[in-house]
Amino acid sequence: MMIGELGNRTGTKVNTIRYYEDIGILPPPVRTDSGRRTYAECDVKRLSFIRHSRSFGFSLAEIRSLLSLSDSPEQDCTLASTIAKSHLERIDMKISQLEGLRHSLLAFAISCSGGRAENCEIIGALCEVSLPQRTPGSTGIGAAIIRPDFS
Amino acid sequence: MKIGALAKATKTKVETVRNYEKFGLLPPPARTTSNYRDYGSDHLARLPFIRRARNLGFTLKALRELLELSDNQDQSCEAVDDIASRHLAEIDQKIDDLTTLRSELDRLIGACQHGTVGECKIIETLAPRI
Repeated sequence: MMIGELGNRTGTKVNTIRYYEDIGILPPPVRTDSGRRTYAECDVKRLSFIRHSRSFGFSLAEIRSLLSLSDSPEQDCTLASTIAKSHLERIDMKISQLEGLRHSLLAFAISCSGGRAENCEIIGALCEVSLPQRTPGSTGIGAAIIRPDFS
Repeated sequence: MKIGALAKATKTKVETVRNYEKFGLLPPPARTTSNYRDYGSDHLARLPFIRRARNLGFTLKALRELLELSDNQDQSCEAVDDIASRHLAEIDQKIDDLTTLRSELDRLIGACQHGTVGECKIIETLAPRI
């Protein structure tokens, strides 16, 4: 099959397929006499694996490891579990960063609609730096969302 | 500090720093007498925030709005409420999506029996059923 069909069957843009080939996550396909790429069922499988893994948010580096694992079924699967766990930790970190940002933004909106910096107590550790106040000389939301180290 | 030092301190590419400036996320820096960009502590504090927010999937436009909220203290309450509530909705959506993803991933990890790859539920789930 041609690249367009592979793209259709896996819901992948043609450019993305070429990119995966460039970075070596998809093997270089056989070419027709006129130099066009042709693919087989094993490419559909491999690309589907990549796309499905992407939908779980795995990075391309992680997917490369997962793919090479899937190529050796006799191997111990601990690495797959390690990769998934570290990905889970990354998601947890993102969620907590977003919650931090949410608190800061909410605090800012509250300070605008009549609330005051005292609300900071409720909002907790993330807000231990100055809550933005809409008064002259206030430090602004930038201070609230930049300073807390939610890295 | 010069752009190279700022880039190094914040693990950002020099080109990215220039782009943030071009896009209005970073205020234009002072210039040295020889016209090099000369960044201050304000830039050093703001850049990590931009990096993290980008990593969380915020668009440059969304970030610019958030930072403008911070920089212009004299905006009307209505404008602030509007911007804040839009971004709160976006943040909530992102948290929801990540929470769903998290529970799927957690289920995946829980299914792992620590045997061989051939029996691995993680690999099996990721592999297409063809």
